[in-house]
Amino acid sequence: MSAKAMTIVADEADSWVDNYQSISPAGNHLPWLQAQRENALKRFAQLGLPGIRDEQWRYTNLRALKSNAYSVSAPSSLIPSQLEETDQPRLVFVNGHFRSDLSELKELGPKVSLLNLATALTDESSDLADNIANYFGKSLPQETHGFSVLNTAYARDGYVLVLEPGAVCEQVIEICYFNHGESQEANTVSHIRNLIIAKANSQCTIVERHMGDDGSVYLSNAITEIHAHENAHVDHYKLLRESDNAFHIGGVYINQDSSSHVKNHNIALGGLVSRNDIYCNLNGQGAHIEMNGLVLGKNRQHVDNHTEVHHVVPNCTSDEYYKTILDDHSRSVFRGRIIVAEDAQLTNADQQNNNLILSPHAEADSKPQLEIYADDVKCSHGATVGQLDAKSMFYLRSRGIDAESARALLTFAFANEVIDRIKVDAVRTELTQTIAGQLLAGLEDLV
Amino acid sequence: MSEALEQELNEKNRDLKDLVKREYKEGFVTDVESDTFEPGLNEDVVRRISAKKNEPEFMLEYRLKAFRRWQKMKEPDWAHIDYPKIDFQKIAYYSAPKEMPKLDSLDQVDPKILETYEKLGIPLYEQKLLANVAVDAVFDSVSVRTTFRETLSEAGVIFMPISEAVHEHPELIKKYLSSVVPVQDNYYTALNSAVFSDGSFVYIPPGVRCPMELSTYFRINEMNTGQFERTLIIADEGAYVSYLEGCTAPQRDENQLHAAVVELVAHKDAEIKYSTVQNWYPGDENGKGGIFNFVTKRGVCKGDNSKISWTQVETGSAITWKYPSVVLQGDNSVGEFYSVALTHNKQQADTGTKMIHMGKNTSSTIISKGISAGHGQNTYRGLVKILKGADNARNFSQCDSLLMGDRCGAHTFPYMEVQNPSANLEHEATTSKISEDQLFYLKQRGLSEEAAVSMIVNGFCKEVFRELPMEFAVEAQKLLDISLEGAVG
Repeated sequence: MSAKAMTIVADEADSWVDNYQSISPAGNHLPWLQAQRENALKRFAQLGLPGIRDEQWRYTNLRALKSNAYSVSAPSSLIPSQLEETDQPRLVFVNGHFRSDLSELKELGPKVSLLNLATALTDESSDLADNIANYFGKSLPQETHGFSVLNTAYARDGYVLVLEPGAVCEQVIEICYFNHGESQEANTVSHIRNLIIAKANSQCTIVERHMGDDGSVYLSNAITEIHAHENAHVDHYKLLRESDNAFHIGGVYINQDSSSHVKNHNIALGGLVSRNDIYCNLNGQGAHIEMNGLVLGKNRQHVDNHTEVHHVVPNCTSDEYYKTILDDHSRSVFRGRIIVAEDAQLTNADQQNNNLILSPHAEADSKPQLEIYADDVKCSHGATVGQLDAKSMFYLRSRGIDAESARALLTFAFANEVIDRIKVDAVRTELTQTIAGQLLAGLEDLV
Repeated sequence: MSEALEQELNEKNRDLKDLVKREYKEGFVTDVESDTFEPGLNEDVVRRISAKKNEPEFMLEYRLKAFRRWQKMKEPDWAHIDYPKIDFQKIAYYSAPKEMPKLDSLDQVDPKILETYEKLGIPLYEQKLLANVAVDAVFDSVSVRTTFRETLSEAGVIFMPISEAVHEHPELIKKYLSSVVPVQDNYYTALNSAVFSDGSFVYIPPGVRCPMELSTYFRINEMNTGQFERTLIIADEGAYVSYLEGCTAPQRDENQLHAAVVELVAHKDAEIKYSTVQNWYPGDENGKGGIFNFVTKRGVCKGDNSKISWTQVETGSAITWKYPSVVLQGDNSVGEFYSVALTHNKQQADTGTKMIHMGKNTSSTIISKGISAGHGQNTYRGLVKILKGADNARNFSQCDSLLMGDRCGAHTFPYMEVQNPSANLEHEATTSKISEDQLFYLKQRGLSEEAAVSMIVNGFCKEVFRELPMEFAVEAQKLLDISLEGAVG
């Protein structure tokens, strides 16, 4: 296959479909997977990539993304400079391919398996193969968009984490994704599919980091599926620090059984255009989902977060907390939807979206939605767009702090409310430092 | 609790109980001979409507243009409502009580129509009027009678059917008609512009405070007719007007279409207060029949310091699709939206507002109270948009939903679009049912469950009711009690 034939014109659905033949058929020996992929490809041929005419994309213009040409890159041997030493278990992916040489695969206990998808699919040990076949693609919503089906068709790698009943993984699992531009003609595109299966009474903490070379242009399309069974606890972090020119389209799709607890943290610091769909189905009584989000927009960044919590059965709780700080020409979109089904009595759902606009060129669009079909429920959402509290400013000024410092301190405090919800010390410290560095630059003596 | 209060509440309960069995009170048909077009819509029908009204050439052109536009448009389907497809060729687009010479006094109005309005409790007879309400009554498609016209014209206020205004004040019509809601704004505005038959026209000259509340009552009587009325209110510099609107229709098994357009223009320092109590026939408990209410209402605060306030109590209609909006163009202008929407049985409502902030220091308030009972589906959908130049814009939105019964739905879809950093927006929404604690408290004070629920519901809606003019507030409260009957327990 010549290099030219492998170039994909993003805006032409046919181009993606044609290119499908040229990518590795790994996993196609499994009939169920081949069927899913082919269906997805057919669906994509109908859907194409979304545009602003689609209600769910009306605030996100993908012109820049679509005007590019992409190519699915071959495995590279590049060693990313951002990679730091670690003593924790870690998987590393470069341009969508697993790199065993950079990963730290540690013994996580007898009942925990962590490996990359490509390897897992060729693994003959029947348990794992069965697990993947049973769960793969099951949490994806019916109503979907082009990127999501494209991911199903194209994804060849990612991580698979399976926790057998009662397994507790105490170490924090780190997953790093690096992307870098490769050729002149086409930008890199990587499709990643992750799968977390947490069976009854299991527990784990996963940190996903999405990073890229400074300034390079690429498209990263990553989906994580989380299946949390009875009483399972999953703490999932997604840290977006993509390159300033990169596009990130992500999805986290969660299915929860009774009494399970899932926390999803979505921290967007980088990328030119990033979009995250975070969907959760509360399918068992007593399940709880916590969704935390922080957006720190600068330059021409565009961050679009779509969350959806579906209360299917009674007695579930959900708690959503999204904060946005926008500077320069950045723009943020938040859509939070809570659906309470007819039978889901005694639901308790809360959603908060606060936006802080620092620059006259920034824009915040917020679309909180409640859809409630049951009567004995407590649901609330609150959304605000505004500036820093004048009284707090006055208080700080009255203590002799100059306006600029006072603003920086309050902005930091605004972001800190989300950071405080992070339970992993290392991540919390890291984020505190990064954000303090960004917002409190030059104010070291105050901190 | 004092005995008097107890007695009063018990009496109220008895009233309520009587009303349970009561059918839709306004559901009678008046037997008047009418001049109704055969169902169907084409250019010829549009021409005939225009000819019936003896309209000047510019109106016919306006209608035809709108009609051609409408033919190219598609019915919107984004709302959270579900209804059978409307066959626009099965609707009659014009219906008027027959033999309508120009009326100078009430004696000339067909007594049967007067009887209808009397049954509805509309104060058409001037002597019976609640103080200071001037009424323009629209029966099917034509305006039957406008009261208090002389008193109003002394103050310089123009209050007349829009079909007359076309002849008497063509310059105002030309200037303002479709200046707020463009013909092609949506499917129903285009349709309305093509076929609207009557409605009210109000012009308040500069500096005049309209001496009385103005009011229109709409009634659909004929079968298979659609009602398309058009209201245009202009408050010139420093003027003030308060306008009320009420609607009813007979009980029928077929769905009937009501597609109105209301345009408000507030110039510098002017204020318009627009109140609606909508009680179109909601259909029976199985969702059979009822009015499809597809209404476009929009006001523009053109001048600085102007104010437009919408208050609505929506208890009727099988389908409500309605978003009274305010475009805040002038600096320091104010937009308000107060709404109570009730859906019972199989009623569906998708209603809310749009506040478009363009001028500096503009502020808007949105208070929306949704009550769902039975299988009712109630949706709040609203947009608050702050444009780049709208410095120091302020918005407060509160959307509360009250659920009664486990088969109803309450939904909130607010949109916030902010392009200016000095804006301050708050949106709050809550959904809950009547709390057991509240009920228990009231019941242990000796109130029956129904009285307790009625009290809680009225308390829930109080913020909106107090925006209504006195008589309307009383009526709205009564309407709510009635509409909720059978929803409790």
